[in-house]
Amino acid sequence: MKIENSSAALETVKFDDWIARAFLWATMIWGLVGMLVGLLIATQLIDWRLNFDLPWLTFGRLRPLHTNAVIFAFAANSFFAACYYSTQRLLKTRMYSDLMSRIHFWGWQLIIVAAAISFPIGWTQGREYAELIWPIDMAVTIIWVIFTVNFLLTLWIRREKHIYVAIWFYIASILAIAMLHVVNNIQLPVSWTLSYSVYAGAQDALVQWWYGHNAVGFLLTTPFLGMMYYFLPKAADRPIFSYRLSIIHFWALVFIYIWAGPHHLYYSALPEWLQSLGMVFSIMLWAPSWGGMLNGLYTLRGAWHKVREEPILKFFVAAVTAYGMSTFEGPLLSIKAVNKISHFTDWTIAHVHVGALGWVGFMTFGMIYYLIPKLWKRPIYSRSLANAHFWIGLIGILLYAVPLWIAGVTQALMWLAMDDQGALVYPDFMETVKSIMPMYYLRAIGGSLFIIGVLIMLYNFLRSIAGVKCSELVDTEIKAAHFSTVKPEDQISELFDKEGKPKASFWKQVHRLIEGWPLVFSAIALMALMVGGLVQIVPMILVQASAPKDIIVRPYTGLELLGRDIYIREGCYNCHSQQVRPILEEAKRYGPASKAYEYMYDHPFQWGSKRTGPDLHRVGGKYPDLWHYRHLEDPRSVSANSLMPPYPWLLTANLDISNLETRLKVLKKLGVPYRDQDIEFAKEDLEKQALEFSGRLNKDGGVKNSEKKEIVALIVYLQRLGKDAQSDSVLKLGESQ
Amino acid sequence: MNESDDDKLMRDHEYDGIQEYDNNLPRWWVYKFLITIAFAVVYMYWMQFSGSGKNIWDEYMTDRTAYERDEMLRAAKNMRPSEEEFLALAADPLVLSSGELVFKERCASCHGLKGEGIVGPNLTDHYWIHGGSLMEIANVVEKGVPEKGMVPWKGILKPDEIYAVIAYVHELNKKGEVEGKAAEGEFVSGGK
Repeated sequence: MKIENSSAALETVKFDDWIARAFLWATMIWGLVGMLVGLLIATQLIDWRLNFDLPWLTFGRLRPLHTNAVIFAFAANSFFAACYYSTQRLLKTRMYSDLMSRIHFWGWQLIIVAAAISFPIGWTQGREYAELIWPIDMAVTIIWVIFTVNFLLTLWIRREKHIYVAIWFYIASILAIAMLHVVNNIQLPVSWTLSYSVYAGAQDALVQWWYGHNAVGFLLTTPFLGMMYYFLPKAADRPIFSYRLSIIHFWALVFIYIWAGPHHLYYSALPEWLQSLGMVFSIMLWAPSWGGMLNGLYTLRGAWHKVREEPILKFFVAAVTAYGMSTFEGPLLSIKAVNKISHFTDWTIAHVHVGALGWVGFMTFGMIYYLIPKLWKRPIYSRSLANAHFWIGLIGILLYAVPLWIAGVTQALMWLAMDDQGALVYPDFMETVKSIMPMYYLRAIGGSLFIIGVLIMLYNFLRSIAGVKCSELVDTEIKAAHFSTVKPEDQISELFDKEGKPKASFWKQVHRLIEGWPLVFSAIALMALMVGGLVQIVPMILVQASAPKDIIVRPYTGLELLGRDIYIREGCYNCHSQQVRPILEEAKRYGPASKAYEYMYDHPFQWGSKRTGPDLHRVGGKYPDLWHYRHLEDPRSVSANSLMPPYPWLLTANLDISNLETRLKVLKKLGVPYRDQDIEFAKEDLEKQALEFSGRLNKDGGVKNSEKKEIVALIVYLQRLGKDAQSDSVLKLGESQ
Repeated sequence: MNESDDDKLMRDHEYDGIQEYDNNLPRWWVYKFLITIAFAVVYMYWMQFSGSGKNIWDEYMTDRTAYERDEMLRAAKNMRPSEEEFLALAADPLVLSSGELVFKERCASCHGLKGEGIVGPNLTDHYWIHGGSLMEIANVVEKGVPEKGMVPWKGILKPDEIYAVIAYVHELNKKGEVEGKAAEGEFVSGGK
């Protein structure tokens, strides 16, 4: 198959280097911000006073800011920098449209600013890593479409016939994120800042974790594999180890990844077949993930002496190793029996940070050091500072992850410990928290070291580029020719011998052929990406959860609903789950295991993924109203050693009931069976319930005039949690007592 | 497979200076992949179609049935002491000091360190909401008053601890009233 055409005229191609520089700046700045917020919330777990009694500085609002910042600001900007830099070079063309590139850059930074403002205010969807409110979601969609179109059109005008494996990974990432973002964020707005997910309960959980798991996959894994395939061989000056390994692990990864979402929902009210499917696909993901690691590490064969000398390669090797570790740990954590221990604990936090700090962080740092001389035309100011950054960062990662592994396992074993008398050994949740506090200190030290490394890099970067004049920053130029086009039918006939039989290397040639048809390649990738989601989500949407005959699940009253929306606003789900797993010891601690029908009117679901505090699904009626009142005002007045921030503003802020009817109407549209009179008399009903409640509060504890306060709504919601199932005979635990 | 001789560069694979070998897939990697696929097929068949796979909810119910059977056996063995036996416990300083320990750890957050009452009622006066006799107090401690926030301690605390804390509360009440939360419930003479 002859594709080079030497007779084609050489043209001068100028790459858009500005866009790569811009995204690198953004990566560094937002990366530092996201990590500093991470450090702040890590220290909040050590000392609650660091919440400063200010609504916009509490853990529940800042944790989404941290996760979104490092995912969508640090990692995504890093991906964009790599993508714009390497795509142009791999395709021998400038991006199709500078304007679209600029809109992408500035639009994305505006989105980040909007996120950084809206989360502290408390504007959130309350769904992990999809917390952005709907107008920002719309902006993300528009910007992503512009990026996609620009990228696809660049493929169209390329001067390199075949697309390299890095581009395959970029294509998969771009398409997957578009699909995940759109499907997961279908929601009905109530106001500019509030909306309800169209999915409810277990269904919402499934869609959300299909998204959540794959946002990790297609923003933190595949873009960085693409980055590795470009920057690692460039920095090492070695050929890629195996083309066929690239093919197999790429397609396996793209197809299998999507199915693994339910491993976030083991022992939950999600149907068991989905949990099992999530588990087997997570285990099958091990080899395809390691395919990338192997291709990276084996590429360095014969170049290990360079690793000793070159900080860039050190970063890449450590990153690929961290990738290998976390993609081994991932399938391990996806075994149901292991997950029973690890779920809701700091083990998960350790796991994601090996990936985020080690893989994403170190790949990015290696890339930055590689690109400084290329994009700013200056050598790195100090190689020894870069080496120092590497070692401090590496120690930081270890000091981050190891303590949290210990903390996770320790706490889980304490939660599940039962003595021979059938009693919990540590019935007091606080005991289990106290036992892991030293680990939280160590983690904060590890995180600080990592940030110190980043500061060293920033200093090194600024010293390197000091004195560079704008006029020096000219776009890189190359000479390249267009490839000659061969008719598709001629290309296909190349696959067969003269007798019309497929040639021996048929499949490999087919793949090579598709590498020359990027749009076909994209279409096939998109189909591979869609299968898993279709098989898992469609049945869940068709089969609605239904309660057993003798049980009535009561929709939230207006007051309860507003309380729930405050629960979401304050980000309670960041520390509290609402999902008692069907595990004897857990039911003993929290109450009967949760069932799917109990959540059927929950838009969105609030199962949570981490228990920094105890589960709340059966908290309804467990404590007196006054207990909750005091607890929210000052958690330590009723629960010594609690880590929880105080919420004094809930006692003074008036409940906003202005759009109550709209909220109910929107939920009714989504299938919550509110009657017309529920909506018509919503405000009267709410005031009645609030007055009744605050009267009790006054009688029991002398709390006066609380009926209009936000705290009333929140307590009423908490006191109602998990109550619908009271008459479910299957659920009773310990009735024989 | 001659074409895949180790470290032979692929013809016409050159992207911005990056070249590619086409080495064979590492054997162990292929086997690992195949084993995980085989596991997936067998596991899904076992769990979903063979009828032998035990799902999470079934296992939970099995555990619970066993637990409840054990609880019944334990309940028969750990019969609550009679009033006389309780009074004997209340006379034992060792029991009382362990009861005090449990009280400070578990009860004080609602009833106060001296039993003066915070969210929960004052335990040192002679007014009782759910009855002031020793056996009535024992009942409330064991079964709780969930609707008012009193935790059913049976099952959370060990039997010894529960009996000790009941004895302690009984003694606490005899020691005389501490200034605290206003009296609630009905007057019971002698505090019994």
